Amino acid sequence: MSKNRSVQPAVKDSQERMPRATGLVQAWVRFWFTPADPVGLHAVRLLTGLLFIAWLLPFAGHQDALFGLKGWFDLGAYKEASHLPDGPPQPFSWSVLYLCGSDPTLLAIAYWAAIGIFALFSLGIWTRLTAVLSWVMVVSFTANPASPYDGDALLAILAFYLMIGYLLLDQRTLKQSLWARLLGPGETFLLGRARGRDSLYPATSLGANIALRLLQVHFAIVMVTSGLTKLQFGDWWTGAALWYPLYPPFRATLAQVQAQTPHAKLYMTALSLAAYAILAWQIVFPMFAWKPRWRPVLLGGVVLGWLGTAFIYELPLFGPAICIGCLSYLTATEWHAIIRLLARIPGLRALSAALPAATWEPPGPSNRMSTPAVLATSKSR
Amino acid sequence: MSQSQSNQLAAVPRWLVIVGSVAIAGHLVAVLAMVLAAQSGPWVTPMGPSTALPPPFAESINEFASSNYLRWIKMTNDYHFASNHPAMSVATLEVRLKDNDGKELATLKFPDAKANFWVQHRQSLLARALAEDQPVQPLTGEFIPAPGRQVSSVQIWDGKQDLQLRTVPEHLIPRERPVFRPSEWSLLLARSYARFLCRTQGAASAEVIRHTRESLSPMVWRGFNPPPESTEDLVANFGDFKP
Repeated sequence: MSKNRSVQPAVKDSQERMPRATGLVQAWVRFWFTPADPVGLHAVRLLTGLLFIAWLLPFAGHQDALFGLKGWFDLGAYKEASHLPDGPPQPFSWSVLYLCGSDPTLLAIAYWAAIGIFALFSLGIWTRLTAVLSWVMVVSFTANPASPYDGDALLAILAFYLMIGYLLLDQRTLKQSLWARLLGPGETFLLGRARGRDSLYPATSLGANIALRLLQVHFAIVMVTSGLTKLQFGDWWTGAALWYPLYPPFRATLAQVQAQTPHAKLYMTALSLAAYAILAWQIVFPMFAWKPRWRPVLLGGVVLGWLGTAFIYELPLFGPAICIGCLSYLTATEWHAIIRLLARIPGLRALSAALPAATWEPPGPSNRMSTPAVLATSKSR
Repeated sequence: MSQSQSNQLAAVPRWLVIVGSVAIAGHLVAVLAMVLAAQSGPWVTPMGPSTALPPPFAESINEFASSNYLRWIKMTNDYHFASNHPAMSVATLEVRLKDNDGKELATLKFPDAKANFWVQHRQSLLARALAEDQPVQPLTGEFIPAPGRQVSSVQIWDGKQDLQLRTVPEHLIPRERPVFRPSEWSLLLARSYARFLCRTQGAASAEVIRHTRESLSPMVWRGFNPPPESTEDLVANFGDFKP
């Protein structure tokens, strides 16, 4: 209480300096400009970096075919496309891979450099630099106009906002070295180090909040747009949309489908319920995504969606990318609770470095306090 | 607002809030305009199925924002995902490689069953990009070219289940059935794929063939049997290409 009393003059002073904002303006300022614990940014970065590696690594040995100017979509095709009366379906833009020309060695170097950059970024090393390079590599390797994939757009979103986050992170800390300003603060390894009194950097970051908020809002736009787009197709209205991926054209035979006829009613009822659940989840996504009490809906929905896109639709990337997008809505408190749980797993103890010192207790029977209790303790301290 | 939040907000200079707000709002307006500027549909209209134009305000913003901003940060996707279409077309690719004498050297199929799942997925996208056929509207009435001028012609798919490309004068486009043609983009891709495979496999020419098949409908469970040809491959031959 005495601590609160001591900060009151500062609050009064700050309120005088801040614009006299009420209602929407105040909500806007609070939403975007409240510095946040960067643990959420680090967690999203760690997962996204792993996703980038999992996305690009399986193309090893096929990089010339899929990304090179002597590949499936070659230099001649780029030239021809520029003369098409209606232009290409998607406008061409830049890619660092164009600098490799048709040299397979240069392309291989670029490919393995990208994997290395993703690994460094995922680990949290030189994040300011590796965040920018990761974004450059992601958008360059998704530039091939012949194989546009919806999941690639989600990767570009994740890479872009993480780049913004790490470019801005701790830039307001004046006492850091030039190297730290260029390469990134040194406290971002894995999930970052808890920032206490001995840290050069403040416990919260405005850049981390802005980046995560941008990611959250953009991701909500994607979810709602995708949900509304589904309403343009009658099969979503009839609830039959999920039927088609279960019976893919080249594999399902008429006899196989007809054999299921006795169970058709039950089957279609379940599928239509699932289809409407997907529609509802996507269209009202912004109404629950920011509310901690609705976490089971957010996370349960995304896990089911991941399983569905992977096993029914056979769409790689979508599931994990959407999952990371949903995890960006978790608060720092929730991340600390998750890290605390993960740190109990043998081998993951290093993650506990991301926990504020006051809240970290060694696991043991006497210290098994619930998360709110632990946080309340740390607050009172 | 809690006191700690107030303290943290107080530390943010006013100019930063204003500049940041303008930047954030501008970025999000550009993204939203891109989303809204997508064509929707096809919708049922008195003239038949037709796509709807985007709202003019979104189109105007997007014209500026897309070419001057979103294009450079690679955010030009409008998130009307193709995978939202339930009965999305599925295609495979068959390429017959030939030597200088036209003798067949090998037949390759994509997605390649020997490749890993992720590569197969990319190859299936490459194949599907060839399946963007466009309807061809036949001309009404007779067409007489100007003196000394040729009658303009168009390439169309000809055949029932085994489609071949045929060039016909525009006034001779069949009127008794729906007529389709490959898009210019598909033709460009077919040529590029052929060049790539000839280069890597040492062939003189490549015949590019697309296989597609319609999805079965859940109406089968209500006793509606699809016509036999719809459960077979629709084979479309793009022809021979030389690098």
